[in-house]
Amino acid sequence: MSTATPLRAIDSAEVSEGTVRAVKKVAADDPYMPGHFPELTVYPGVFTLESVQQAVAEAVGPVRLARLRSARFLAPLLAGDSLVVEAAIERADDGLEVRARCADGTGRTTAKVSARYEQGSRAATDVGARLDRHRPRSGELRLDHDAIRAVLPHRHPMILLDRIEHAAPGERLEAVKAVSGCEPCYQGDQPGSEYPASLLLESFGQAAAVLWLLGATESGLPMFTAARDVVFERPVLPGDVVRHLVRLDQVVDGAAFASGESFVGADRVAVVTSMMAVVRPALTLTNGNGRNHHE
Amino acid sequence: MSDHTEHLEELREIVAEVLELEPEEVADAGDFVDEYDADSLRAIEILARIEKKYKVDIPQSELNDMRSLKAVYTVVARYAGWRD
Repeated sequence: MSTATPLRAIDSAEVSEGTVRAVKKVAADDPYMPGHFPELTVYPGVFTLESVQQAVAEAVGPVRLARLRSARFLAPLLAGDSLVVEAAIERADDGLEVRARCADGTGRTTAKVSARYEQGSRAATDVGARLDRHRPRSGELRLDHDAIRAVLPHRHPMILLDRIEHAAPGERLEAVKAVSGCEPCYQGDQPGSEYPASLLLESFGQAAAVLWLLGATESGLPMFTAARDVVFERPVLPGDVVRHLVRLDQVVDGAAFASGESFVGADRVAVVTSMMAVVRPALTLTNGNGRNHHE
Repeated sequence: MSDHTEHLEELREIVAEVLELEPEEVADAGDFVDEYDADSLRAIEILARIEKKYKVDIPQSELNDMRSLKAVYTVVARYAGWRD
């Protein structure tokens, strides 16, 4: 069983011994991009992860993301920008350790990624008994899809949450994402039925963003800035209902830190040790200063 | 190991992990921005991890001062009440 791809995240690649260099031009009309965001196209951080993975696949054949050790997104990429991925690939145990530096067309570093990939197939999750570990408590919120869209700037098809249950704003929530074979990552005849790790992480991140923004005064576009140690334990397939259990650990100087786990039925599919995000007004992303938004 | 050394080494590990360096590469007085290419988000991440580990609240106004391991130690010691 191989992994589906949300979009062609590289346009070309050059492979040499132990390294690969790939280029992608950010296009507003690529799959998923019209929803990220309708008013301003920003290449999602998770698609940078997708670009790295597809570059690695050019060098060694199909791979799946097993563990995202560290990802840092330093500057946003907008429509028309080029992304250049340079990845060093090392074989370790029965996997691949990859360190990648991503830059824009001017050579400025936009992201750094360190991850472990696996080759070959992995057994699918047995859909066990539905979780009943979080009974509703008083004072908890439930958000339907309309309410989610009121909180997040993401839109179809990049809105990767269906429902929020048991939300204690600013503290924790449980988010539901039903994976369907109708999603753009399954279009065409490309093989692969595993839901992309990049989209699973995006979905988790959106749940974390809802949790933060429900209790926050910040407004603008939430930007994924860093992740540390995300382990993808089991494949997620069309028909699976993913439940993200998300905790908001800290908010420091306008940056939020979240962690949690994702389940399909009783099986854990992913563990997120730490994810970091900031909120930026859309305007600061489009002017010159905003390109280096973390400064 | 004295409390002072232990705390300093714990902080060195946090800083090294966030800056993606080996602990021995982080010198006591090394400037995060000038010498290790850190940006403001990394400084925030260091602060967040310290707050979580030691369960202290450090005002964001201290961030500008926390530019080296030594400076971080001084700030954290003040808010955590370390008497090393």
